[in-house]
Formats: sequence, C-alpha cells, structure tokens
Amino acid sequence: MLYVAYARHHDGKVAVLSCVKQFSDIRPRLLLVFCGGKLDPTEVRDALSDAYPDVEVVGGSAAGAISGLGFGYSGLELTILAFVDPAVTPQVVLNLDLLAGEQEAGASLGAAVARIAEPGAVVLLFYDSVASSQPLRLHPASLLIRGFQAALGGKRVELIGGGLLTDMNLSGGWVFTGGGVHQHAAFALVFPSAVRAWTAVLHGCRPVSTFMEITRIDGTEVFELDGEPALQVIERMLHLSLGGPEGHDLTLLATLGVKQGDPFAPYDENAYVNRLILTSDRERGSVTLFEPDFETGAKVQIMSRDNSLMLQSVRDGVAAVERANIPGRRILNLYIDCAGRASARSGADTEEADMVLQGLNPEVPLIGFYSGVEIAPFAGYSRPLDWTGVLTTLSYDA
Amino acid sequence: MGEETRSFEREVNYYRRYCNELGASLFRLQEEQSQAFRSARRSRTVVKLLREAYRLGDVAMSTHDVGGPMLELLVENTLCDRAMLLREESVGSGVFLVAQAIGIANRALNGPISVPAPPAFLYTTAAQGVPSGSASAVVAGIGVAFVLWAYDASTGHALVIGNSAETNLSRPFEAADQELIEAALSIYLDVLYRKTAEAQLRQAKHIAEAAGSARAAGLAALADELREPLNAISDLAQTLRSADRTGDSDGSNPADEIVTLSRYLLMLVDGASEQPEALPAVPSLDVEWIPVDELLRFAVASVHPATVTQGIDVETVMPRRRTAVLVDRRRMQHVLQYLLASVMRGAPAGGRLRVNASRHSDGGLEIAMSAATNPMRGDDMRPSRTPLVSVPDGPNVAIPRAIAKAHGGTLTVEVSPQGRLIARVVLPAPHTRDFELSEETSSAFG
Repeated sequence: MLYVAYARHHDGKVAVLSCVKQFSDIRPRLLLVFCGGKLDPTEVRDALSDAYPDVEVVGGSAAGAISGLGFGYSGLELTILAFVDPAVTPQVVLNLDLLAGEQEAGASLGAAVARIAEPGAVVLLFYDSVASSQPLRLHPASLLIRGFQAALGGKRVELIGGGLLTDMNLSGGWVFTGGGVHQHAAFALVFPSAVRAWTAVLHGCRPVSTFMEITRIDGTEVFELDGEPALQVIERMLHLSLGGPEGHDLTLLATLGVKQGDPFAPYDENAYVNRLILTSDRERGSVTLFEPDFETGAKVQIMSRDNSLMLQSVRDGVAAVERANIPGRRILNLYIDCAGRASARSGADTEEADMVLQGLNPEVPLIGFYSGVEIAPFAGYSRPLDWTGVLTTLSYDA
Repeated sequence: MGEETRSFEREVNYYRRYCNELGASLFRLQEEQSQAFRSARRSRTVVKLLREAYRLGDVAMSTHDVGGPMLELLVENTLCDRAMLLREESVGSGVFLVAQAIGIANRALNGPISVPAPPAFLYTTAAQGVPSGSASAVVAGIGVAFVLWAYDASTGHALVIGNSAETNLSRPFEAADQELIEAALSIYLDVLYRKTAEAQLRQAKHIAEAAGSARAAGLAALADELREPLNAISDLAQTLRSADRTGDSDGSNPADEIVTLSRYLLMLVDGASEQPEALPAVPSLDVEWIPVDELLRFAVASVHPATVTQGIDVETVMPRRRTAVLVDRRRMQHVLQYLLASVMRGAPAGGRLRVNASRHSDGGLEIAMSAATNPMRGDDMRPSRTPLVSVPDGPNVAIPRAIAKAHGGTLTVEVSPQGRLIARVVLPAPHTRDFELSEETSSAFG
C-alpha cells in the first residue's frame, strides 16, 4: 500500500535515483518527500519529475530524515513515501501565503480541508518553519493551527504535523508543492476515512523551578516573570547566561512549560506544553519563545531537557505503540522528531531515533524527519509541541 | 497576618528557594553532561574522520568521485552548514575553482574564488570582528560568516567548511580546529593520490595488455609461418644424419645439431601458437604416467649419434626403484632432449655426459644432466650454440623452465665450481611414484 525509500548522498539527483531504484517498478500516485536541507531542492524536484513525470510531489526540507532503512541529520538524507493504493492516498491542500499571516493561511487550509475531509479524518499538516533568518523569526504553528481549527467549522479532524527546517540551526526551510519549491508555504494531506491514526507523544523535559506567573508578554516575547525582567529571572535561577554576551544568539537551552490540569498533581510529562526559548534580548530583558500561545497570567515553570527521561519516554512510547490495539491493518509509522532531540544537539549518548527505528515492527513502513515544531493531539486538541517526538501509526480499516 | 501564617509563608518560601536551587543544579548538570558529550563527540571527530575517510580509498571510485564522499564525511562529523573543496587554477595563483561543494546549490557557485596569498590555515569567529584579507575572501567565497580553512601550497588544494551562526550546536571555530581541517585535507589528498596512482596503474596495465595482445597475435602468426619450414628442415636433417655418419673435422655432426635445434624451435613455435599471450608460460598439459627410464632413453637416443662421433661416454643412473612420472610426454621429452643436447654441446671430445635420475626423500624425482665444459672451444661458446652456459636464466631455458613449473617442478642450470655444467629437473612427489609392472603390461598410465 505504502512504500518508503531512503538514501543519503551529497548529490540530490543521485539520492533520488537511489530511492527510485528502491521503489522498483511501483507506480506511485503521490510522493511525500523529506529532503535534507543541504541538498539542492531544485535538483531533487527535477530528478523526481524526471522519474515520475505525472506524479504529484509534496514535502520539503528536513534537518534530517528517518526511515526503517536508516536515519541521519547531516542534511544529505532523502526519504520518500510513495502512495500507490488510492484507498489510502490522501488529497493535497496547499497554501503559499504563510508570510502574509499564519492564522489566515491556517484558515485557508482549514476551510479547504473542511470541504473534503470526512469527520474524524486524519490530516497531516506541514509547513516551513522559518519566517526570517535575520532576525530569526519562526512561523508560529499555534497561529496556523488556530486559523485552521477555526475554519473547520466544528468538523473534527485528527491533525498531526510538523515544521520543516533545513538544519538544526534554524537557518531556513522550504516546501515542495505544486511542482515547485516554495518558502512560506503549508500543505495538508487529507486521508480517506478508512485511514486512522494512533499517536504517542514522546517527551523529555522535567520542571526545574517552582511556578512563576507571566506578568507581561507580547506574542512570543516574554518580558516579565513575577513582575521582574524574564531574562534576569531565568538567568538568576539557572546561574547561566542565555544567548551569549549580547543575548541575541540562538539559545535553545531552556524551556518554559505550562502544566495542564491540576498544577499540584504529581509530575506527568504528558501534562506539559513546553515552549523552547529561541532567543533573548538583554536590553529588553526578554526571552522569545517558539510559539505565541502563552498568555499573561499563565503559570509557567522552567523546564530542563532530561536525556535519560527522553530516552525512557521513547522506550515507553514505542512499546505503547507496538502493543496498542489498533483496528485495521497498520500501513505506516510516522515519526516527527524535534531536531533538538538528536544526539548532536541534546548530548544524549543514544540516538533516540535509532531506538524508535529499532523498537518498531520493521514490516510496517517507517518515515520521519527532524522537525522544528511538532503538531499532535494533546489534551483533546491538536497543538504545536516543542522538544517532543510524535509517533503516529496509520492504519487502514476498510 | 498571624504568626502561623507568616511562619507558613516562610516555610513555603524556603522550600521554593530550595526547590529552585535543586532545579538549577539539575539543569546545569544536564547541560554540563550534554556539553561534555558534545565535546567528546567533537574530539572524536578527527579520529572518526581519519577512520572513515581512509576507507574511501578502498572503495572503487575515480579521483573525480572522491571529493563528494569526503565532504559528506566532513559535514556529517562536524555538522557544519557548508563545505567546499577548492583547486587552484595554477598552483600558487590564489585563484581557486570549486571542485566540490555541499550546502551550496550549483547555480550559486559563480566562477573562481580569489584568495590572495592563501594561508595554510585560517578561521573566523565573531570574537575576531569583521574578517579582512584572505579571511574576507574565503568568507565571501563560501557565503557564510564563520569559516575554517586549510590550504596545501604544494598541490594547490584547499578545504573550507563554514557555519552561518555560532550557536551551541555550531560552536565557534578555534585555533585547535587546525588539526581537524588539515587532517581532513591531508586525508583527501592522500586518497586522491592513491586513486590517481591506481588509475595510472590501470592505464599502464591496459596499455601493456593491449601491447601484449598485439605481440601475441604477431607471434602466433609468425609461429604458423615458421612451422612448416622448420618441419622440413628437421626432416631434412634427419635424412642427412642417417646418410652421413662421418662427422666434421672436430668430430661433431652438424646434422645432429640441426635436428636438436629445429626440435627446440618447433617446441617454441608450438607454445607460441597455442598460448602466445602467456609466453613463456606453458600451454595446458596432457599428462600421463610414464616410466622415467623411457623418457631418458628417448633423450639419450636423440643425442646418441653425436656422442658416438665425439667419443663422449654417456653414463646413466636410474632410481633404485623403477619410477614413473606424471608428465606431458611430448613436452617433457622435448625438455630433456634439449637440456641433454645443450649440456653435451659444452662437453669436450672424449668426455663424459652423466644423466642421473634419483628419488628425493620426499618422494620427488630429480634428473640431473651434467658434463664438464670444454675450455678449448671458446669459439663455440656463442649463445646460439651454448645457450645454457651463456645465459642460464635467459630466454633459452624460459620455455623448458615453464614446462617444468607447469608440472609442479623446477628447472635449474648451474656451473659447478669444478666447471661442470649441470641442468637439473626436479619433479614433486605428487608427480612421482613407483612404477608397477602391471602398468607396463596394461600400458595405461595415470
């Protein structure tokens, strides 16, 4: 039903040819491509067009790629999912106006999806994460999703997805859609109703502070915690300097988390929505988060990534997926893996993607990529997540 | 606020501070652990690069194909944003062409990169401020602000990697990175050199094979042309030998020599036409078990007329047990005949030609043919008449030696300190066995 190929080569054309060879003589109806950010997207797109002239290609850049055949984050990886069977092939909806407004783009996508999706349909949503590299600004997934959900008009869908990056330093991103290579674009794959999803969110952060109240915030920029400059509070508490001497550099050290439900309930990793601190501004005393979905009055805790917790979460999550009673035939495992969880970034002594790869049933195709943001159902509502691994199993039940 | 409330608040604040301190410690521990791992990873990079890059030399690829995989390894190990291999247009010119690049689209590579007075090593970092001179040129060439560069002035090759930012993943380059970048360039050049040498060897082999084929074809054609006249000469010499037993003035019969030499030439011709490309290798053998005395009888018989005319006494010693050898009858007969005739040719009139066949302790067989050389026949010592003496390891024994080798044996020629010329053929134990009488009656050897 679904086929996955994987290759790594400095020449995108060669990587494509390797994948085409792995596909042998299948006739795909749609290709979903995750392409290492150091490969030339135009060359990859052209090579795919040559190999499959009339086949729609969607996908985009990835800081790294994951498949049952291997994984890596050198930026030279290429993994392709081929949809062959119409019964499981999704319809594609796209939007190229992310830069004009993420919420509006989300609304446009949501309205289009609402027209074609069955209630409860699985929808995969991907977009390029970086709105601007100088200064660094991300496309906030929370706005995209807010617009998307609002435009669904009450129709419920199972929304999963991620932000696409070219590398772990958030240098850029791009999307394959409509036969071209685009920036500031998003696309959704709307699956037939016979396809279902079962998702586990793999975490890796634990709180290292007491609760603090956000007393001043503007979008993604947190100015004050408990009435004091946020940067000062965080640095004082951690005895660390964030963002270098000027405070402008990418940090990705600490995370702020909001605990859902009873704040004084015992620790549960699944209860937290975490937001990575992207940059800081020493002059303004602020820190900038990945997403603008925290509000004044929110009780946050400083969260620390915990590599042992992350690896344990992967073990538990993979085991849960494998033993889950999922109706129908499992047709695909999809792993959207926060790039920060890679060993080179996190410092973990084990590659957690490898644990995922090793722990899953090899007979079910696996495709994944290293992402900027992950989107998954969380507490009954799909939302962007940071520092997570989203492991989804798609099944087909005619 | 009551005393109890104040006390409770103090207690809560105490625990908050304590909790935050513990949390901060945990955070720093986690970060230190991560940094330690990342540092260890970086320090392993050179070793890993060395190990993996040298493997490139073992993979079948051309010199043109080495650069890409080399940069792949570098990018994978350093996680840099961009990497380029450069080659100077002319060594020392400072004008570089991009041989290979990763992280930069081909269409973005605009012509040569000019780096005036290229240094052997340089790096840029935010702490150094705005780059100038060579550093500025390298930065402009690769298109990112932070670069690490190595240049080999003797070959005009350069390697540069770059990052767009100095984050906690792409940490700033430093002087200690010289080892990494220079090692990578050095490995690349080593592999390149090795691949170039392999390519040259392959080309030389190809040329040699082509020349060998042409030579073989020529030899085969020549052999075909020579066979018929040689057969005629041999037959004519046989006739002359039968008709004239008088010999020449010094006792030798030229017809005998003509017979011997023409047989040897025929053997060469056979070898050339059957397997010309392998000369002096021997064509495939048609082996059978043959009594040694039968082989030697044939050889001795072939020189018999000459020994009679020259008054040479032939002494033949056979193994104590009658012995058979597994040989190609025709070729081994020619070898022994030729060796015997050659040894005899150096012997003085009235001398003694000794043929000694003996078994070795390991079961093998040695046939030694020897005669004292004739110091008085200096004018006859020309190579054409005394090939074994003049050129013991030369082409005149190349074919017989190859035939002996094809039987698993050896052929040696030497002159003893006493002046005896000795030709020795040794056959190994698997080619030697005791001869059973029943074999003779059944005439089925092997």
